[in-house]
Amino acid sequence: MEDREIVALYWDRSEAAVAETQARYGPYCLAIARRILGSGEDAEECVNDVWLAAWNSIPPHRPACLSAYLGKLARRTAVSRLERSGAAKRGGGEAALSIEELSECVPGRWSVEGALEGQRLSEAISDYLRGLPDVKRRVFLHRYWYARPVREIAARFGFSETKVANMLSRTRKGLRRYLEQEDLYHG
Amino acid sequence: MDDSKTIFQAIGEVDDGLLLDAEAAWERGALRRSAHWLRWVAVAACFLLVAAAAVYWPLNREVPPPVSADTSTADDGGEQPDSGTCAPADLPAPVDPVFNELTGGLYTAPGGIYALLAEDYVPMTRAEALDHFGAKLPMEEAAPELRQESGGEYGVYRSGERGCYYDVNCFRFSSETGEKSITVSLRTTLIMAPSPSEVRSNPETLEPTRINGWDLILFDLSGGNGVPRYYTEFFQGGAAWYVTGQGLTADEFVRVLSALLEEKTAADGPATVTGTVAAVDSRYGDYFDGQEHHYTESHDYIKLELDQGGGLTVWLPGEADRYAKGDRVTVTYTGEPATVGHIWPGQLGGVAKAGE
Repeated sequence: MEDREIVALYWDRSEAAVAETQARYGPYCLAIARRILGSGEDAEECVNDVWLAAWNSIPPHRPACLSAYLGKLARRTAVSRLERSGAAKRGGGEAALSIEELSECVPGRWSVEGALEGQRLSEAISDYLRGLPDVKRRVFLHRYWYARPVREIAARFGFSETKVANMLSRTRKGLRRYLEQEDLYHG
Repeated sequence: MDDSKTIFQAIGEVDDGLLLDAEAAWERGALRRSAHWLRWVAVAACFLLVAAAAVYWPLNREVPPPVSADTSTADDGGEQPDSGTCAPADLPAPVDPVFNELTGGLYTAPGGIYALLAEDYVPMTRAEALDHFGAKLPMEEAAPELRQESGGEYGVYRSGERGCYYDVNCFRFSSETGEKSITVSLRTTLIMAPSPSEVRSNPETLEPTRINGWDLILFDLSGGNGVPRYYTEFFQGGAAWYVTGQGLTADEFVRVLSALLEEKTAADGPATVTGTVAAVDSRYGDYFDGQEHHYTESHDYIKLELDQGGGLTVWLPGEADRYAKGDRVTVTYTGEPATVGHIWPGQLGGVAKAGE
């Protein structure tokens, strides 16, 4: 079934919408949740939350791209669950490693309290990523959006792990400079 | 940790288009090297090439150099090297290839996103991968300047439950300088997924080029950087072939296709296929061009699940609404599907519903 038809089912409040979504995007959302949470059981619970969130948010939303919409829901839900469980602080998962790496992006005078509202920060990061060469942007997103291990990214794209790690390091530093130069924080 | 977590969360909300692009690149399994990197490699390779030619050329004069179809130097008897072209030994260049403009941009389709489980990955050698597709890539004949790139990774995703569910493999060839390249991607799975050339502003204007008896639709994807880039798709031997040539002349690209396509000897009768309507779309039209989302005018088409396997998209401007999901139909068309699994209006003989 096409995405548009699935969205139409949601708008018709047909329960078939959830079944169709599970059939088409279940493995995709599960993979995202599993990479962030580490645990398969947690990931499955997380994905159930995603279906509920989709049911509750469509309508009013009518996503133009259902995969990205569900992927974001899955990631958001998984991160929220990760935060609640404190697993990120205990370390171990790929997401926890990713988060630790991202500390290099935090501008010096930044603080959570002073940080931009999430949406503006996301827009700023999107702008920065759009300005990157394709390769760097994609590698960055596979590491920090999908929380894929460096090893997997390197294997997939035919790079050495060192090269991917260096590329990520430079991109992180570039993002930090961008956030500082654009003064995108209230220090 | 909290600050970096804020950034991690913010990254999660980046623009959809960036995600689709990243996912599509993951599916293709290969990222283009940056132009910056290529420039340096090209410069270094040029020096090496000149040095190597100076040292070795006198020793290798007995080897017939390639003949360029562009420069018409056949009378030279192969005495002069033609390093600027991918020259074939004896493949005729088809007359007047037509390159269609792909005005809709490359389409990074959400339909191409699905879970690939690492534990299902079955690595293969290049030869095994080619066997999997029953494909041959006789590039040395068509474009001796191009060499298979080293370091390629080949394999398929297969599980007991899903069978072989993902088998896209890329075979890449490039010249020593990296300025010219051919990428052949093959797949037999999920051919129903939208192809890169699904979105066009005006599919009615597509013109085919006849190569080895095939009526192929060729696309010109050249950007503003002056580097020619050509693209086509076709079905052969049960696999979908996606062929991209970069830095090659039009003739060189066509010669490569001549080598890849088996000769067709069948008479030019219209083809007939039967299937079931899987989807009707009379208003589809958003795509991402690498920078931003665009919303196009309506594109009417129906998607079929063919009785013989695979799928087919049939463009039916203004008529798609006559059909409904589940309808049994027979489609008659001439030539090849315009792109993998697409019948464009100019080649459509007709669509008949069962019982009508």
